[in-house]
Amino acid sequence: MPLCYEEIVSHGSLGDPAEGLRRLVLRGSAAATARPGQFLHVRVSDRLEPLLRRPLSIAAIDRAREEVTVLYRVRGRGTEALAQRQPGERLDVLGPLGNGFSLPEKGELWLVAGGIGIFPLYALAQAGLARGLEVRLFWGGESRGFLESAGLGQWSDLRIPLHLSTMDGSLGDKGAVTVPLGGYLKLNQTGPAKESQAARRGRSAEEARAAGSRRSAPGVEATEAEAAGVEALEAEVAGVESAGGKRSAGGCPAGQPPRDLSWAVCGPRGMMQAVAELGVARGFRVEVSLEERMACGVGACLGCCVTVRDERGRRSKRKVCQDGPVFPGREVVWDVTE
Amino acid sequence: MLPNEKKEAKGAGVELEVCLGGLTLKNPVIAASGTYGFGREYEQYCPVETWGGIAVKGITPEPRAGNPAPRLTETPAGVLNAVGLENPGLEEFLKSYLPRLRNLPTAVIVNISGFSVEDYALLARSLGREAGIAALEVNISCPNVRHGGLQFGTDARSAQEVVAAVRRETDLPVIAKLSPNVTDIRELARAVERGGADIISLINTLLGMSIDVEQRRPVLGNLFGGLSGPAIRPVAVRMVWEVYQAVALPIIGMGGITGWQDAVEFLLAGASAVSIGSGNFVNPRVPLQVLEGLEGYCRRQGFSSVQELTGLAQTELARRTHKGFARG
Ligand SMILES: Cc1cc2nc3c(=O)[nH]c(=O)nc-3n(C[C@H](O)[C@H](O)[C@H](O)COP(=O)(O)OP(=O)(O)OC[C@H]3O[C@@H](n4cnc5c(N)ncnc54)[C@H](O)[C@@H]3O)c2cc1C
Ligand SMILES: Cc1cc2nc3c(=O)[nH]c(=O)nc-3n(C[C@H](O)[C@H](O)[C@H](O)COP(=O)(O)O)c2cc1C
Ligand code: FES
Repeated sequence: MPLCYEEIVSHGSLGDPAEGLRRLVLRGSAAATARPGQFLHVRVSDRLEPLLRRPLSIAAIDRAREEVTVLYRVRGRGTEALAQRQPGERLDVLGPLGNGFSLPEKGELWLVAGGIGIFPLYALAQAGLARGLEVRLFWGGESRGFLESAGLGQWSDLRIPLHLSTMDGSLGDKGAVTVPLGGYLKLNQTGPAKESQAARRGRSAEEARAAGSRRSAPGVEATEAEAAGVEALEAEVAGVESAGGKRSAGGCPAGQPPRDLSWAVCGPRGMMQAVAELGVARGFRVEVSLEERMACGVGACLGCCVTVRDERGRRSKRKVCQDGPVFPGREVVWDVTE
Repeated sequence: MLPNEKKEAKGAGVELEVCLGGLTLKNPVIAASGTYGFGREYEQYCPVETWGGIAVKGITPEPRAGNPAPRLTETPAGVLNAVGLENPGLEEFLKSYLPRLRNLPTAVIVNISGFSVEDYALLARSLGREAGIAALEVNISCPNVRHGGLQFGTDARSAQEVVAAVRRETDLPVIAKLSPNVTDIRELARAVERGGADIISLINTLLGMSIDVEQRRPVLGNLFGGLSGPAIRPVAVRMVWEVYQAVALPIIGMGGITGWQDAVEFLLAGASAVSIGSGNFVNPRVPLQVLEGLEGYCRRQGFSSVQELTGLAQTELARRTHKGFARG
């Protein structure tokens, strides 16, 4: 039954409490059918204020334990009320709802995230790795503190190449995620590197361990080796200047789109537009996860509609809750005035 | 006979069926137009046959794309929406939606909207020929393009004209849905009664606005929106009370119902049935809980039929104040 009362297994701060991020683990029937990119429509309290449910993405799925994880940022009264809920309580949840990301059969999967847009991509990364895809993450955030709070450690543990950026330049490139993404695309022309995934994984695994150990012992000064590891990670995330240059030697010829390259994009609207335009222009399969205010969450109220266009340019409306939240990047009409 | 004298009704089954003029419903709980899609969307959460009836999303002669996003925002205990009557249009509705709707195990009410009297007449003529429609609900909260965008529903003369045009085209029960954005709701109720309405439903949404103070701009793409949800319930109950006094037509009351007590409140004020809109967003099983609560209330209070509740707060008040009281 998609209307369920999930048990709160654990609920607390994610990373530094000052970042206002929370991690909520629910046990119940949602896990059995949940797919990456789907969301839950959560009734945050039993009261009539705040009234509406809040849509929150499924960040991780553990079918064996019948658990799903939701990661969220406390923004306003809905998420504030949700933050009060305690382990052991039951949460009234609709879902899993929506279509989710499509998981390619083979090839490369690039995940591109802005800020907390990272949350729904973790489950996708896990699913992609389980299928043997070559997974790579581009992620931009406010600061090093934010990225570390929002799960950089867990991402490092996946041992995939990470390309990071921060607005304040405290980790990775300075700027939005389009900086490392654009840099990597340029270095590799339009194609991905031929360097084996295994080699890259091996390297990033070491870097990740180093980064992880430093993070896990805050306040403890990093050893020289660890510090070197972090620097190596930073070099890679800063736009692959060192290693990336070498890799691109084996990249695809300019203008020729690589085979089997899919992008999954989630973040603020402007960032998704910029990223989608980069990918669509190169002929990649780009999927974006859109956000709209929701009331019903099931397709009944038409509150969440966005404009899309087909191959012939004909425009129509789609419901983010039911037809999305994931849409092909080429279909989305980004600037809608009417 | 006082309700508490009806001891024999206690424990016995409570009659939930209600008759509103030519419209008979197996129970008095209806899904409100625009909040329940086309009857399919909530299927997995609550069986559609739970409802006494469902009012589908407002249909216009031509398809409409609706307003730009954002179309929704939440206000204290309320929802502000500016969907802008997005709908597939009459032709597509007849082709792709009605065939399935007419087989649903509940009364299907088709909500119609237009921008001219002719629009309404055309919809009524076409839908009036179709089988499987229990009633037409005329949404008069639409801008009248001929009259500078003034809503049909805020001008008694236009409201009467629209309802009369629909009445001429169909034998189906005609429900006139009133807008609350008026000074005197009784005047509009009398106008639609003169126009030939069989039933009055109220209230539609209250016109409202919300401004994002950080960005210093209106939240909704359309600037204004319609307010619904618990926040509007006292306004709606007052208007049902007034309309019950003003006209002899049966009333479908709505506005902010989220539980059985709210439904009972509307019935006691003068409604013969109730609709639930925004309440579905909060809890898709709300009709089940309302029906259960309603039945329990009737049993406890000694009523054998929910129809006995209609307007009871008014008659009891009249009796208590020893004032003569007559409807109409
Ligand atoms: C499909 C989907 C998946 C989402 N997944 C996540 C997630 O995994 N983690 C997470 O932290 N957030 C997620 N969000 C956003 C989340 O739903 C909103 O942050 C939340 O509803 C805000 O509620 P609030 O009561 O705390 O804030 P409000 O008091 O309602 O608003 C606070 C601010 O948030 C904005 N806002 C409110 N609702 C939305 C919305 N639906 N979309 C965009 N902006 C909104 C308002 O304009 C306001 O500025 C998702 C949204 C969608 C549509
Ligand atoms: C999203 C939304 C869409 C609506 N669309 C329509 C419509 O198409 N036609 C109509 O007559 N009323 C429409 N309404 C009004 C409702 O049917 C109802 O009159 C109003 O919401 C008050 O009831 P509630 O407080 O239970 O929601 C809509 C309401 C909402 C919230
Ligand atoms: S939220 Fe109601 S249709 Fe999408």
